[in-house]
Amino acid sequence: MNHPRPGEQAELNELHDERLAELYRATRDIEPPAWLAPRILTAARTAVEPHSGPVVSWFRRRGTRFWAPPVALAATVALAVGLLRLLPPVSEPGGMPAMVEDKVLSSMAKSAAEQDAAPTQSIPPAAGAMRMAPPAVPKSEAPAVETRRREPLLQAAPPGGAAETKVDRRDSAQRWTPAEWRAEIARLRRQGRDAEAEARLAEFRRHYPDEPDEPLDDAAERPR
Amino acid sequence: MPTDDDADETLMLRYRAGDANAFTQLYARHKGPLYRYLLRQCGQPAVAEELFQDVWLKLIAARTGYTVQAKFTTWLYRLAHNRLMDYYRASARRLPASYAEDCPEWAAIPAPAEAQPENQEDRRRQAERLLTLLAKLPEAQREAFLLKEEAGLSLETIAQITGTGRETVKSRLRYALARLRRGLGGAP
Repeated sequence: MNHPRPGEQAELNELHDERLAELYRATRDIEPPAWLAPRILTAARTAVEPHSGPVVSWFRRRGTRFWAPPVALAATVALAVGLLRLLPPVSEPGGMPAMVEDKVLSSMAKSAAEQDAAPTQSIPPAAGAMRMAPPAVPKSEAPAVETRRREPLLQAAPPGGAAETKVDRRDSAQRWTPAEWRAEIARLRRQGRDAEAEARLAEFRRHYPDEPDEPLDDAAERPR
Repeated sequence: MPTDDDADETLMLRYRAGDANAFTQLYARHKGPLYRYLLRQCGQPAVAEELFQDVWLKLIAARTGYTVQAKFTTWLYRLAHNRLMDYYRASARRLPASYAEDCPEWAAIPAPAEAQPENQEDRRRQAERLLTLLAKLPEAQREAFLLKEEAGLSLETIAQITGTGRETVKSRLRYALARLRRGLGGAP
């Protein structure tokens, strides 16, 4: 097993006592317990087997967590969906909810109608019904393009209901150009429906705060 | 006498390459001497079993880094010696002083006894006496004696394993022999 060099042999002989060695050999009948052998040999065999190791190590092999990417993806999707649900709908222009906006418009139209009722002796239709009416002037090219763009979306939407009608109505009003707004306001004034015209004007200001309030031609045509 | 094919180093290389049977051969060859070395150094069978298992498991874990730079026994007993030192340091006894100090008192070595035990019973009693004397030796001297008698290692190899100089090993070994001879009634 191990062979000392010749130079060392003399020293070893000097340090060797054959009587002690023989006595010591007589004591070498002690062996490790039998139960240790299978344990150690199994460990040795397992270590060199391919794909050795406990089942749980598949999850943590080489420090990689294989479950991490799908879990991270699912968490990202859940977070994104949650955020989208919290955001207001895209159709809300100024962040004011539709119901509140309708109430404001109605109250404005009502108060304006009360002021105008005596001189004109005419009863204006409700603001909501007014807004249902299409503009009297022909639409420009831009709204036509917008309408064509919206067609696929409308076709893809579920069949109509009250909500759909409301959104459609509001959308059409929101997509008027300033010229259409002015024409509509002028038309109402020409018909003597000042309260409705004021309501429209207020709505117009809200949609186009940077536009001049009244067109010059409409102001000239306004009945005094 | 092992051939090149079943030399310790060849078997260890085969085991490193995935041959579990090569390890079985190595284990069968070295289990007895290694166990007795550990048992006589720590004196408690339960501790010796734990250390024995640890040494083999450490060898298994370190198989991929094994290269034939020294004899396999040098590597094996180096692992065992280091494990034993860890055990000493962790135990209440701490590291035995005999590992830190050299003993100058080996000058008077008794001569080997000429008389041989007369019968089997007498020899058995002498062997038991030897084990008792061995247990009383300082750890470092006892280790040198065991590495020589159990593993058949040279002075140079024992010095490598224990991390000391060759002359230190010589002095430890001579001191151990002196104590044992004196205890067994050898002539001064």
